[in-house]
Amino acid sequence: MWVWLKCNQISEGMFPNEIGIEAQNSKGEIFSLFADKHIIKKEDGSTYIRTTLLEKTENESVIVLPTDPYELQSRIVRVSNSFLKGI
Amino acid sequence: MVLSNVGIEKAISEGIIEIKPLPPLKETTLDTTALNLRLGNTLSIPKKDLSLSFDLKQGKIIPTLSSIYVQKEIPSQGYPLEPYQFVLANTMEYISLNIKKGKPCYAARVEGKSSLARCGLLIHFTAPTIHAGFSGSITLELMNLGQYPIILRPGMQICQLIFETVEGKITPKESQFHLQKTPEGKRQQNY
Repeated sequence: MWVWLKCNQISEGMFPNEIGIEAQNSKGEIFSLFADKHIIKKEDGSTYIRTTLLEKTENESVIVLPTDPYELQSRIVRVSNSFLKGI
Repeated sequence: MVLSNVGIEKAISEGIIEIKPLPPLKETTLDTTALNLRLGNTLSIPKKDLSLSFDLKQGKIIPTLSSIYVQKEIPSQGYPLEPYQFVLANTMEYISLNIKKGKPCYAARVEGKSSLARCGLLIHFTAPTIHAGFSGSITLELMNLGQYPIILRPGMQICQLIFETVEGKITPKESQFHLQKTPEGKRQQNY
């Protein structure tokens, strides 16, 4: 199941079809990755990236990021549900 | 288990493997056990003689990477990749290996093509695995290890994807989040 993670665009990508984004995990740690524009949407003034939901609890969820984040050692991250849309 | 051409077509038709734009699935695109992908229109060429170093612990990797590469559209007459020159490229196709409940799950490996390898072209030198859940075009690390320039043209068949079945359920393990080891062998907590 796909869910949308709220993020910020931080730069252009290295190719015309991608952008650099950053988001945060449930501990507030910021991570960044390059994302294809196919899986980015802008809604209500915010930017979202498409991710895969693995597990959901009342306040947090575990998702799979579409590409490797630079600051973390796994694409599987725990995030606050308040940053997710479509959950 | 490696997917056959029939298995690849089935996974595409079920939406588990997404390819956009989907090339015509004929012999030249779909080999017995691989899908050939095409070179995109843009190269990302590193600037020379900058004074910097990468330190992932310092952050700001993405803005740094974006600032030290110049995007160049490949001209219609082609771009000559000189001996020992390194550039980044990506595939024309966007790939998504979707994880769907109750459906088979796939990972893939990007590999070069023997015809180009004979000319000296390396299409990646690390990170060939496309993990389940990946979405995006595939970044290629192109390097000419040969003695003569290799002409790169947009749309040329540049690499192949080999799909493999993922056995078992993908589930978060606590070990993925706690006390992970850094490359230096130290333990660190991700979150």
